[in-house]
Amino acid sequence: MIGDPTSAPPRPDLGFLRHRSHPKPAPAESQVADFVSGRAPHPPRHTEPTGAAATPRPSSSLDLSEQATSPPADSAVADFVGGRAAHPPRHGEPAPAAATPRPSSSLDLSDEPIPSSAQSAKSAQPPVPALPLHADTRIRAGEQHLLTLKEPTVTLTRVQSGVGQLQIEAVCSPEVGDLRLGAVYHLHDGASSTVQLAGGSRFGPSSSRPVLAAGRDDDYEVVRIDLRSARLLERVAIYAFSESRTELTWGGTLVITTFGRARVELPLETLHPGRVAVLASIYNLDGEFVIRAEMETIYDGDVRDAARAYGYDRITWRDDRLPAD
Amino acid sequence: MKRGANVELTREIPGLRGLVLGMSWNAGGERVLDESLVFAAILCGADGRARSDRDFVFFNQLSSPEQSVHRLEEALGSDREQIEVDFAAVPTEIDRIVVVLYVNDNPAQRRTLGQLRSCVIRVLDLANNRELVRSEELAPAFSAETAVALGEVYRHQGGWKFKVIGQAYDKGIAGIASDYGIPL
Repeated sequence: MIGDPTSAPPRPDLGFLRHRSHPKPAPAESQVADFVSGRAPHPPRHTEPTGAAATPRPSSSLDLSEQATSPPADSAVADFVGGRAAHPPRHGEPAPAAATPRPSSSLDLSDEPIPSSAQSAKSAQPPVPALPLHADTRIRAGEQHLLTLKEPTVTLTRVQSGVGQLQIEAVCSPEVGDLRLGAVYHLHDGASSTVQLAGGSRFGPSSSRPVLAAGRDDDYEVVRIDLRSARLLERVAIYAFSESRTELTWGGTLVITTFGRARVELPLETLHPGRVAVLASIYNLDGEFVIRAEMETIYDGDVRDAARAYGYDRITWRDDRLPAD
Repeated sequence: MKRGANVELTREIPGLRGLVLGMSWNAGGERVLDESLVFAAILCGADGRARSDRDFVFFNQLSSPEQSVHRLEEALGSDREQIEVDFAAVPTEIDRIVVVLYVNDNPAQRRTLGQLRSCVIRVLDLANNRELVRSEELAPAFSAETAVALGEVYRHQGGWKFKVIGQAYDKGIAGIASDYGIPL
């Protein structure tokens, strides 16, 4: 039986009902507009990183809505970052099964299956609890955190992912060889390219308003991400390569520093010898940046092949090192 | 309202259920400054400090966990940015909500609040968008600072008051985070 809404008990757990109870001067254009703002029509955004998104709130229908509006790519990325899926498809290889469990992962603390597509979320009629997208290895201001292949990820808070800048520095001695640092990125608007100090673009996607910038601090090369633009960023992979295309004797440490001076460190000496390697990746998961150790030598090819191996397949190339743009 | 002035909102307007904090600035065509500014709110307990990083509401975290404070993706009306406060949803342990404006750190192209031509915060009734109060022009007092605590909405004798703070910070958002306990 459906009760009378005018006499129904209040539902403080349903935030949108509370907001909709405000007097409204004009009729809303849609229920979605009411949902987002009780005052006036307001367009919904798929990528809205509300503070509620990652909070387990078992009874709220907001969680269902957020899952339903998430693009399928998000959960694929989440599976990968969370260690629930294998590596992203490489060129020339069939795509791996997305749900392959990886026993080596320390991340997947949840025993429950994760809805792997927006379709499955939509088909779930009753409100479903928000499942954790990834485990919470966190880092606090001033702390140091070591990334290893056994514990490959650390997740920044939305504050750490949105305030100041993120600095990624290759602290390597000349004994390594002529190591140069770069980053390949993909923005939510589809823009994708590389930034590196050794030729190519120093700034991405544009020098007038760079989201990423390659530079040098004293002795070491560095890539900086302007976190005012964090909402634009979908993912980044950090790579290193030999400028002269000679084999590098990997050593040193990749140091990622937050605005609060938290240091995420990735020792490089365990990399197999080679000319190019993907060191780490950064994924923007619902506003939280997940930093993941990759530590993979690319044996066949150069920057282009490293980018393709990690699924950055929207870039057109001038040669095996520099994009065409 | 001048710096330091306060108003008893819920006594002036009985039945006031929530606010819109509207932020307006004019960077005078200084594009990098304009695009680096961030309007944010901090939910503070009785000790004047945030409980966690979740109490910092800004463009990358649009709502506090219980959704009492919410930043709009697009401001409705003449403000540059807006943050809504729903009084009934504010947790009892939250004593005040401080709103700040800061320049996001960008060492290649350093900008300061002193380059602003205008900086005004105003308070609207959440129910009908009616302007209740607005601050004085805060921009003339700025020089090399990169952050400012604009004002605060705080509990007072069972109701809510609003006060213009207008205190600028040389150390930018790092200084504000330190004062208000935001984990960076």
